[in-house]
Formats: sequence, C-alpha cells, structure tokens
Amino acid sequence: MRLTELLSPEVIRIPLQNNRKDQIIAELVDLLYKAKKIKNFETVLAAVMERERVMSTAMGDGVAIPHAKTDAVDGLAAAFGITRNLVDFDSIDGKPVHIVFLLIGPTEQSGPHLKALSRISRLMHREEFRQRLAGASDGQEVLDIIQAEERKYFSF
Amino acid sequence: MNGELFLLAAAVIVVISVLLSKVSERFGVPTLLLFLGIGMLAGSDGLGGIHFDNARMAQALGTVALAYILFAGGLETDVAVVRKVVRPALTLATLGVLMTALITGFCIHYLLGYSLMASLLIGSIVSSTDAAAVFAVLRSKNVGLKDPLRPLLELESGSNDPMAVFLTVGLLELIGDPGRPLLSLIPHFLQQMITGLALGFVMARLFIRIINRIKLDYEGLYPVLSLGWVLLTYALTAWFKGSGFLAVYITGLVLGEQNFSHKKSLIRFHDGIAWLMQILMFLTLGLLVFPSQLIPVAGQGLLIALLLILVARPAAVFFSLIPFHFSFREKHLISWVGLRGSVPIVLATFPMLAGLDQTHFIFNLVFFIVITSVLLQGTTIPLMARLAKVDAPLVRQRRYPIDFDNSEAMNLRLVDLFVPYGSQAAGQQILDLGFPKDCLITLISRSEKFIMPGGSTVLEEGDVLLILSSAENLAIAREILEKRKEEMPTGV
Repeated sequence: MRLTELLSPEVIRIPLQNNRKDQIIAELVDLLYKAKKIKNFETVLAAVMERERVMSTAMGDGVAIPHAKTDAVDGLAAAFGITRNLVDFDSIDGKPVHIVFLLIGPTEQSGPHLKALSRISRLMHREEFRQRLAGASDGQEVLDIIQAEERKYFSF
Repeated sequence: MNGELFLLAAAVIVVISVLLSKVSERFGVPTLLLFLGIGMLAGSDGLGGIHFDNARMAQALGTVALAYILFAGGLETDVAVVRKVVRPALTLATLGVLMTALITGFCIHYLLGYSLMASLLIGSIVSSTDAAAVFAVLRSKNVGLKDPLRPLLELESGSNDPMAVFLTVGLLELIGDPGRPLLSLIPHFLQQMITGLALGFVMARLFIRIINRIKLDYEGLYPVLSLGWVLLTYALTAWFKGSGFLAVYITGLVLGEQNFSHKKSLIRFHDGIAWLMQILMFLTLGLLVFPSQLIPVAGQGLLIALLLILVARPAAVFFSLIPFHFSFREKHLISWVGLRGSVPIVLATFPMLAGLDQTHFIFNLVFFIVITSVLLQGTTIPLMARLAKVDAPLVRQRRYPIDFDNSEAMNLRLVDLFVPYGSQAAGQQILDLGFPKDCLITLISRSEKFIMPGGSTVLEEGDVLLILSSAENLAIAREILEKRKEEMPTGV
C-alpha cells in the first residue's frame, strides 16, 4: 500500500494550527473526519490517545507516528501535518516533534496496519527526505515529495 | 432415502449454507433467513424434494441447538457491561414477555375470532425475542448501538425464552386439563426460574473447578468436556423441573466472567458450535414447513405479525421500562429489535406433539409471523437506529496477525511499539536487550516484511514490535526502547 494512496491534500495541513500534543492529534483526526475517512471523531481520537498512553509514538528526529486500530474505519486512513515549532510529545527523554504522521487502521486488519507503520517509520528515517518535507508549503507538494521517495525505495 | 445419500445431502446443504452466509452479509439479508430459505428449498415443496415432517425430531434438535446457542451467547456476554442493565432486562424478559403474550392473544381472539385459549397459546408462542436472531442480525449487519442498548437487548433475548417456554407449556397443560386453576401455574413458574438460576450457577462453578484441576492428556478433549457439560446442565436442570435454557445461559454468563484455563479456545469453539447449531436448526425448520401451506395463512399471519410489531411489543416495552430511565427514542428502538426467531418455531411444535387440533395451522401461522418479523425488523434495524439517533460505531475485538490464548489467567495484552530512531536498543540482539522474561516480542514489522524474532535477531531503528506483555513489564520494555544511544549521530 503506497502512502500516497492514503493521503490527499485535504488530509494534509501545513502548518498545523495547534502546538500541544493532544490538540495536534485531535486536529489531524478532525481532518480525517471532515474528509469522511473515518466514521466517528471521538472513538478514533480516544483510540489514538489510548495507544499514546502505552508509549509515546515520538520516534526522534522530529517525527511522531501516532496510530491506532479502530472499527470506525473500513480501510487504512492517514493524515499528515507539520507544526511551526518543535512540540513535546511526552516521550521519556522528551524527543520533540514537528512532523506528525497519523495512521488509523481497521481492527480486523492488523497485517496491513503493521506494514504501513513500518513503511512510514522507514521513510521518515531519512534525514534528507525529512528536510524536503519540512520545506514543503502545501499538501500537493508533500504528496509529490512522498511519491518520489516511495518510488525510490519501494518497488510496489 | 438411503443413508449415504442422506449424509451427502445434509453435508452439501450445510457447506452451501456456510458459504452463502458470506453473500447474505453483503446484501444485508439476515443469515438465518438464508438458512431457513435453503431448508425450504431443499424440502418437499422445493427443488430438493426432501420430505421431512418429523416434528418430534425437529423439536429435539431445536432444543439442543438452542441450549448451545444460549450457552455461547452467555459466554461471550461481557458481564461487567450487563450488570448495569440486569434489572430492566429481566423486567423485559418476564413482565414484558407476559404482556406481549396477553396483548397479542387478546388481539387475535377479538380480531380473528379464535377461542381465547388458542389465541393466548399463539400469543405465548411468539412472545419471546430470539437470542439467535438478535445476535445474528446485530452481527451480520454490523449494527452499532449506543451503550446500554446492546447489552440490554442481548440479555433480554438471552433470558426471555424460559418465560415463553413456560407460558406455552403452562397453557398447553391448562388446555389439556380444563379444570386446573390458572394460579396453579405460578409456583410452577417460580420453580422453573429458581431451579434454573441456581443450577446454572452451581454447574458453572463446578466446571471451573474441574477444568482447572484436571490435566487432560489431549488438548482436544477440553472442548469435548464443555460440549458434554452444556447438555448435562440442561438435562439435569430439566430433570429437577427447572428451566434448562435459563440454566445453560447462566452457566455461560458465569464462565464468561471467570478466568479459567483454555477459556479463549473454548469461547472460539462454542462460537463455532453456536453457528453450526443455528444452521442446523434453521435448515431443519425450513425443511419442516411446507411453503405451499404458508400461503393460506399469509393474510392472518401478516395481521398478527403487524399487531405484534406495532402494538404488543411497543406496549410491553414502554410499560415494562417505566421504572427505568430510557428515552423515548431508546424505547422505540428496543421495541423494534423485538426479533422473533427459532424459539417460537420450536415452541410451535409443542402443540403438535401435545396432540391438539389444528396444530399445523398454528405452526404455519407462527412460521409466517417469524419470517415477517425477521424480514421487516431484521433488515431495518440499522435504519431505525440511525433515525432514532441511537446508533454508534461497532466495537469489535482487537485482532492481530498473532492471537494468543489466555490459558493460565494471566493479565497480558498485545501492543505494537516502535523502536525509536537513535534508540540504544537498535543494533542489539533481542537476547541482550534486558527485556523482562515475561515480555515477549512476538513479531517484527520491518520495511513491510514480517520477521519472526529469535534471541539473536538484531533490532533496527524504526522497527515495529508486536509485544505480548503484562502492563508492568511493558513499562520496563518502554524504558529500554526509549533510552537513547550514548553517541549522538542518528539518521542515515
């Protein structure tokens, strides 16, 4: 599953309007809800926050990948945003975050969910890619950058 | 028909039924109607031409099937959720059923002119909602209902069958022995309920004690043990003049709440058994009915069905729930999920076996009412829920590529955690991580490939780990994963 198939300009926001972890996640979930990618705002938000309580999804290098599985989606759904400033994402050693990739998957499809998570974490690990993303000014530009990167590193 | 041919026919019908259930889910037809339809199609009026009119066998099969369906239903019911709705549910299951039976009976008597006793008998037969139907429809249509509604409806449908059975059997006794006073039924009723309740609890406790102590040599024997236990519970309770249906349901409920070894595999096993039983029961009932005989009762059947759906059930629900706090919309929806199902059809075989007149007429009438109820209400529940604004997203069980069996009452969960960039865990073998012993990495997702980890597997930055662990050990794992490498350079 290509990430560019999951994303569209309407679920990408640059810059994000909030600068607190919970508000940022709510803002991205709201994008998904307004784009009709998820059926319920509250259950999805609650599922993501529940997962964050187990362990922060801040990856380091400014990246966070909040995610959850819920029955409020029929297939994988993703949203993307970049904050103006670095934000604390509640990890133990305080890795600050400015690139946030949200992934929501249906409960009964764990395989695709886990695969998509590892694809995101693998792509985001590349510093030069992150810098290009950080320089993007709108959703279409983000899509183009991700598409180019996916072509380079994944054959499918 | 000779034995081999019969087996072949039965096997083909069952397999086709299961395969077609996939189709019915897509088109929103309640699955059980499909099984019923296949049974009718295979029957003597249909393509199959199988002649089956053995009411006694159908009743025996229906009874056994219902016991397993109720047991599985109880097993899967979340007692913590159910506890909050016990009182309204039990009121619906007793007073609600009685009112439904009386109102329906009197309506039939006054509108259609049948004798009072026969009318009340029909009312009693169709008075309970059906656990199999309610569960199947909620499941197959992916209906989500707001909180107290779903457990309330499940508990009601699971616990109201004994009342309907009791009313039907009681009325048959009265019809058979006209001199008997009506009030003599009350102690009989109390005995049914109390014995059923008590034996249900006792048998559940006993089962837990046995399964935790006994170490069977073959894993496969545990489901067999539970299979026998359900029938034992039913039969023993019936022997002591209690309600066997209530007893197996209570046993299921108690077992579902307790922890015991092999619980998860038993739940899955009985889920499968319940499906098989539903298929067998509806197939048999479909075979038992002669569609050509349904046409003459269509007019009256439709009238009674509409009375039941639009008058008797709403009146019973609204009256029974007066002491409880439910909104008008909620009561409206509860009224609408008054699905009739196999219980009335099985009950309709009782008068046949009691040797009363016109019993085929009653059977066909009841059959028609049930089909109307399932077709009309079963297919429109999601719509009604949306209209009444009491729908909610469906919450299903979490499922991973790996599932695990909670065999020794452990408090474990599966979670997916990242190996953060720059984590000191990256580049290390799992063996050297210092993970707690009971914190197991079961699967690694790396660049969209799944890796089965061993002690020598080396973690990489950005790996997604599927971890099986208790909450305490998870906190230790989290610390290990979040600790950064000493030297700073990260990224590629």
